[in-house]
Amino acid sequence: MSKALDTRIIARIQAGDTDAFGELYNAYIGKIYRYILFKVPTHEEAEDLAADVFLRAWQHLYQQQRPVHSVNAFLYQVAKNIVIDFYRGRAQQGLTISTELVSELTDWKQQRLFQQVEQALELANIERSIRQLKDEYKDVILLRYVEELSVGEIAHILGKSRGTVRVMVYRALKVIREHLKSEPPPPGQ
Amino acid sequence: MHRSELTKKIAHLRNLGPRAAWVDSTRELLLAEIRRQGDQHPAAVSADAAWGQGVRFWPGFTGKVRNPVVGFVGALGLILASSLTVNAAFYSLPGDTLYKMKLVFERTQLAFVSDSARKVELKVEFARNRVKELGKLVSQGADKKNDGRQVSRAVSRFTEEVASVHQDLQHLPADRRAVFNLAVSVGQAGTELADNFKSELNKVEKSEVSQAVRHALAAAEETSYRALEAAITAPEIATSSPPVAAAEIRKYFKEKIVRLRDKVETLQPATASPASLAGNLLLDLDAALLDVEQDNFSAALTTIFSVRENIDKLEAEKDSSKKESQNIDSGPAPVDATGAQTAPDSPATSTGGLGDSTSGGTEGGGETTQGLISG
Repeated sequence: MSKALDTRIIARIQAGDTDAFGELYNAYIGKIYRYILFKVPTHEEAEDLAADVFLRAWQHLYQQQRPVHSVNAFLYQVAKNIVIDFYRGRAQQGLTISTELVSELTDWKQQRLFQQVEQALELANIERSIRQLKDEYKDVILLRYVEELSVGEIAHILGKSRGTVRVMVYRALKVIREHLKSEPPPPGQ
Repeated sequence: MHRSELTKKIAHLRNLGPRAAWVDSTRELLLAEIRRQGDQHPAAVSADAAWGQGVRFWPGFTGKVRNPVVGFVGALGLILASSLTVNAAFYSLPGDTLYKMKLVFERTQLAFVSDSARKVELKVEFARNRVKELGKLVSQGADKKNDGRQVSRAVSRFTEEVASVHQDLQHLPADRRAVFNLAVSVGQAGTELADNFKSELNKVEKSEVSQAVRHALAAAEETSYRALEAAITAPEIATSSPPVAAAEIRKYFKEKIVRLRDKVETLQPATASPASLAGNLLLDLDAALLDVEQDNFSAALTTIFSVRENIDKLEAEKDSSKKESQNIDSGPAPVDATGAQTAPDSPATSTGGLGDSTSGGTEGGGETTQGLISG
């Protein structure tokens, strides 16, 4: 979605246009879900939290009429905060969580897609590597290479300088490469 | 692997996405709730004043939200043509197609309620919904079939909701009636949960379900007791609700003490020596009862907390001796390095530290299910 379109949608939502909220949801639900997916144990929890992001977005935009200059930055920041709250709640219960996603896909269409993708096991290794990254590295990798945001946009979301984001990307890729080296190669390689 | 090759592979993860059915149903649910607000439009407000102003501008909203049944049916009625489907969603169970919608709607209700006390009431309501769902699942035998995972997840949701209530206790207005009601509600939810899973909990072998239930019961018990502690120290605020009479608090304390006595006597029979741990705990509970009769509630609660800690030790001893007797039944007695056979520890003499009976994947938990399981 272009910046101009984003600005118009925000204005419409703040004016109470629920169709505009639907458009925002359609445009961003996949990205927000994916962003959260790598930070929580299961698809179900990612779904729950992604729904919460849009609820909170509505509160901020319509009920509180907060100014928003970048929809991307706004939604990812809300998602980040919701994941933090999620883990705060978990920490209080002393629950430990660890799982993998690619190997637990329940949607048969996605399973077939991954079966079609060359070296599906290698992808599972990459997913595992990303999950093991520290949180801010995870953010830069997902936002840069999965969601294809610019360094500037990522810097805005994370509240860091562009230079810092570039360095983080470099270091995160290095960590992933090192982790992949230590993983057993997929069959056929 | 070259950087460009790696980044291309990472980009493949873009193919992960939410389920289409979930996307559609969640969109409709969110839109329905938002549209239900109708023509009211909040004025531009500062973030700090937002919620207070929001509630003033939407006078009908909180009234409707206060009744979950009305609110839920109303919102779903806008998006689902059939009233049968609306009912199905509201009465859906974990694993059902419409269950997610039910959970999202509960969160929607919480999101649109600003009053902290009302938020906590809703959370307790939702925790009790989980207990009802679990009761139905257990009656269907779901805990024994492959749906055991659904049962564990539903129990975990109960635990999360109760833990959230515990966290909110410190932010609640100091209103004795509200907090006391909270203590009673959460305690009742825990009791109902224990009843649903009585047979599972009495097994020696701990399944995933029983571990999750033990953890949930511990969380409920802890939250209930902390709410009771807050209620005792909170002032009585003039509200439309009747004040909490001392007799009411006494009655509730006595119920708790009776359950704890039953628990101690189940773990160690009354024929045990009065000098045993169990004997001492029973004496402590008698002292707590005396304090309650004299309205000395703080002292009674302090004693009860101490008794609960010691019940942990008794439970651990009992679990350990059950396992030992199972081992003995199934094979020769364990033999140590010298070739001598070792006898199992006597429950009356073994010490604590034998392991938390509510292991359930938690860390540092001293909480148990005492007082909630009978027999």
